[in-house]
Amino acid sequence: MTSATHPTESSSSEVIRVSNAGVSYRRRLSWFGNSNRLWALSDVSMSLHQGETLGVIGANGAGKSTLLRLLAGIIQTDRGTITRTNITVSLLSLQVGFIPDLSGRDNAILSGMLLGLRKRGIIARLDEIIEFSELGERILDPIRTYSTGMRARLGFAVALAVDPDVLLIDEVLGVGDADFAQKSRDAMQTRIQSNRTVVLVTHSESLLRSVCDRAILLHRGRTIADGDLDTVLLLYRRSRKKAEQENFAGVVKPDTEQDR
Amino acid sequence: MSRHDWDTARKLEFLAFSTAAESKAEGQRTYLGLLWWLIDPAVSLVVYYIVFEMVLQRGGPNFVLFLFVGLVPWRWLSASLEQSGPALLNSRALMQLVYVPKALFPLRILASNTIKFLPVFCLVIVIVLASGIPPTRALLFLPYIILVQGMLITGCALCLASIVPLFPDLRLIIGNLMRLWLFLSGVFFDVGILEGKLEQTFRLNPMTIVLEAYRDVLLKGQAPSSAMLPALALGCIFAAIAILVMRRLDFQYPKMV
Repeated sequence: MTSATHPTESSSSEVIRVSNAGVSYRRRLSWFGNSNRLWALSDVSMSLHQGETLGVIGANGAGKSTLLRLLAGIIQTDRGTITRTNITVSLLSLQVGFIPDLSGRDNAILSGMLLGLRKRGIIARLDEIIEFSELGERILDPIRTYSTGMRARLGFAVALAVDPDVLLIDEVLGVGDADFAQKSRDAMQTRIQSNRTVVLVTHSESLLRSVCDRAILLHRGRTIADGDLDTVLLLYRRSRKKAEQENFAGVVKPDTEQDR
Repeated sequence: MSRHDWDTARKLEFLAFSTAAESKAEGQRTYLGLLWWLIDPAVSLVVYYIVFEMVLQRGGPNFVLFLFVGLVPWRWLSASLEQSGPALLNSRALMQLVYVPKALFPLRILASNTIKFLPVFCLVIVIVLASGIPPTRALLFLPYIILVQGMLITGCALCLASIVPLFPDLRLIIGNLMRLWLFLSGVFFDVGILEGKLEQTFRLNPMTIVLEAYRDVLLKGQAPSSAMLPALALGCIFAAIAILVMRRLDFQYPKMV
C-alpha cells in the first residue's frame, strides 16, 4: 500500500471501514468444497469519511463494481470485515423497478421506495421530480408511451430525489439527450461538491480531478494504493503502461482471472 | 438502503403500494383485464365438462358446479406458484442495484393474486346460491378455508421462490408439477368415490382437503369433513423454512448468475 497521505484522522468522522475484505462468486453450484470460487475482491481495505469524495480507479475487472455493491450492503464479505455507522448508503441507480404499464408518477413512487424513501417522502418530492424531469402532464401517462429520453429523465430525477447519506456512483453521471445530459451532470456535480459523502467509480480523469479529494487504486481485487488523487493516478498510469508493454511483448496471457 | 433500513412498516408499505400498482398494470395490459380470471376457469370448465360428463360420462348431479368450485381456488394456487416460483430469478437485475428483502418479490405476486381471487370467488358463491342451493350456516367456514388455502399457497410459493435461484432448471418444470398436482387434488372427481388406501393416500394431499372443504361448505351445506389444521400447519412450516432460507441466502442471491 502506498503512502497514506490522507491518514485516518479523527475516526469519529469515519462512516465506513473495510478491512481485508474478500468477496467471492461461485462459478457454478457445487456440493463439495469451495474450489469453484472466483474472488472478485481478494484483499480490499479502505475507509470513507464524512463529507469526502473518494475516487475508485482500476482496470476493467479489478473489482470496482463489486466494491460498490459491498459498500451498498447488497452483498457481504466472504472474509474480512466491513463496518458502517448508522447511515444510509445507496448506489445511484436509474429506473429501478420501473413497470412499463404504470404511470410515471406511480413508477416514481415505486422506484423511490426501492431506493430508500418512504412513500410520503417521495410524494413530498413529486413536484420536484416532475419539474426536473421536464415531464409535465405526461407524468400521468404509462411509461411505455415515453421515449427513451423521457424515461431516462424520470429515472434520473427519482435517483436525485433519493439523496442518501453516502452516494455511490458507477460511471453514469449524465443521461438523456445532450441538453439533459448537461443538466443532469451539473446537478450531480453540485450534489457531489456540496458537503456530501460520495464514492465515485469512473475512467474520466477530468471528472476525478474536478471532484475527488482522494482515491484508491484496485488491481485484481486488491487495494494497491490509497492516497491523494495525483499520486494514485500516477501509479495507475504507470501500471497501465507496464501492462500495455507486457501485452505488446506478448508476455501477459489473456486475462485468466486466476483464483487466489 | 441495507437490511436494517427495511423495518416492517416499510415492507408493508412497499407491498401495499406495489400490489395496487401491479393490479393496475395488469388491468392495463389486457383488454379484458380482471375478467380473465373468470374467463379462464370458464374455458377450463367447458373443456373438462366435455371430457368428463359427455365423453367419459363420469359426471354426476351438479357436476358443473362441482368443477367450478374446485377450479377457481385451484387457479389461485397454480397462478400464484407459477408466477412467484421464478420471482427471485426474475429480479436479479434489480437486486444487484439495491438491497431488497428477498421475500418481498414472491409476496407481492401472492398479494396481487389474492386480490384477484377474492372477487372471483365471491362470484362463485353468488352462482352457487343462484343455482338453487340454499345458503346455510356452513358458509361461515369460508373465511377459515380461504385462510388455510392462503397459508398453504404462501408456504409453497416462498419455498419454491427460495430454491429456484439455486436450481434455475426447476422453473422449467413448475408447470408440469402443477399439472400433476392438479390431477392428484380431486379437482375433477370426488375423492370420496375412491376406495380404502387410495382414498387415504389422496387425503394426504392438503389441496384435496381444501377443495373438499370448499365443496362441503358450498354445495353440501355442511362443515368441512376433514380437519384443516394439518394443512394450515404445513403452510406455516413451509413459510417458516423458506423465510429462514431466504435470510441465510439474502446476500448470496445477488451473486447467483
